[in-house]
Amino acid sequence: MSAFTPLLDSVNRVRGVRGSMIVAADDGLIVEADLMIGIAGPAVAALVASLFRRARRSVQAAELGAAAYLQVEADEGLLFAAAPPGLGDLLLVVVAESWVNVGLVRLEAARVAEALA
Amino acid sequence: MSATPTQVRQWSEEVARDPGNLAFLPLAESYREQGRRDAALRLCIRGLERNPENVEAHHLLGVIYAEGGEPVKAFDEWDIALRLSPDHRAARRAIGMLCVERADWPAAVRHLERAVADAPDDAELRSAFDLARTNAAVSAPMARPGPAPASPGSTGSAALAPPPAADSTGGGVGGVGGVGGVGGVGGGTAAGSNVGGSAVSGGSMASADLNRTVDSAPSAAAARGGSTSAAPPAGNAGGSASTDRPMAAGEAGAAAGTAAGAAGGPPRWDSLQDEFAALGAERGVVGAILLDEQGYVIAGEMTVNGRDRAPEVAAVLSGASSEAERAVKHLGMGAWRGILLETPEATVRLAPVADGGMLAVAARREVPTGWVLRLAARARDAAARWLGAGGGP
Repeated sequence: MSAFTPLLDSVNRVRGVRGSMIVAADDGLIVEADLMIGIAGPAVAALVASLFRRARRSVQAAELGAAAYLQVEADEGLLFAAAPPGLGDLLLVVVAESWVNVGLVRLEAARVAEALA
Repeated sequence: MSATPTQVRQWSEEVARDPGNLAFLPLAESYREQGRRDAALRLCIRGLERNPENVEAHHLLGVIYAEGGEPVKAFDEWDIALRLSPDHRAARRAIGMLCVERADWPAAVRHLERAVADAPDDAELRSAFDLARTNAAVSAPMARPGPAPASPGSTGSAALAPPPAADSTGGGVGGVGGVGGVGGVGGGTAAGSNVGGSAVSGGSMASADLNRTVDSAPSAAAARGGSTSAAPPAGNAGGSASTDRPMAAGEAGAAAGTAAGAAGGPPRWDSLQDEFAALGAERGVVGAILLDEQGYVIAGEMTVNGRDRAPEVAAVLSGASSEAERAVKHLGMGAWRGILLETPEATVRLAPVADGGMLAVAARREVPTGWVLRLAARARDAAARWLGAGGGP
């Protein structure tokens, strides 16, 4: 059990969340994960990290600041990636059902950020 | 008759409650009458987003563009109105008069012939039609590739106009200057040169009448200028029409003539650009852009610190669509529908469009996220309409 485990637990308690991970933004490797069985964690981590890096470059190019939060919506689910300052270059990645309460997930992500700060 | 303040307030409330409410039309017209062109323009564009097939709105938007000195856009809007409703008299009249102003005689004849049939008592229309018909007849033999010979009566410097140059001293066929009255909006006073001495006078159109067409300032100036008939967009000495847009009639020559190409062709880029510009003009919005799958900007701007960052953003985002698709596929989540990106300063919404493209709408953080999502939905609708109507590559 790492220092991140309780944080992931709190996120996973939100109804509709299928799992969460702490992922290195630079290389997309998983640092800590707590996912439902069947979720391709490493692949998702790599892809979300890559997407986050691209998004970060795009807002930098537009001089709109540093990317802090990314949300990918799909027909049957949602992906969240938050970059709390307290996590350094790590991302909190959340996999959820499409019907999840987005506000609650964001709130939990913010709490994680606060806890890490 | 001008709207009363009570009416204006009522329309405003209706539009505020439901942006798709048709009250946007009289409200926009009222704003236009008050000289609030920008407000009228925005209202019309927004109204059309929700009522894209509203003929009157397209016509009114054309009038607003024309009054704002944007005849190309005006032409497009009236053209759309006619495509939606070929019997729309006001649009027919307006586009016919615009063709006269541009010395696009074949197209003018085609439109005005029908307009005159619809309104045989309209003397101004009749005069414009006569003028167009005469000029079309004169210019028809010259409507072929190669430089146009100067008209016999003209001086070298006078042969600027596409068809034979007007020669006020010779009482010849009037050029553009002869239709000083085309733009009744400004209450033009130009008498101009004329056909057979019957000047087409301006200023007879009622100020509130949507039949008004374009501002005839250039024509009036040309008419006052005397011997040179400086057609609005000069420089097309060889063609039968002088236009500042690729009008079918101008390109194809008098024989093929007319705006047939425009009638059945793909939607104009301008209309999409206008819609994205309108979104970008919303309070707190940084910009809205539409990108193709290769990362080229199709429409819109994203101006930060006085510079358009759209190309840079587009270049970085070009692969994001496929990346998002791969990520959600790995999770068996179906297709991706959108990405929301937040920074301490801004909220950015990305959404896929047809043909592998993507749109991006960015707003300052003070704009509520829900509103950004709605703006992006509007942008997506506009892009879908444009692409769906053949605006794609």
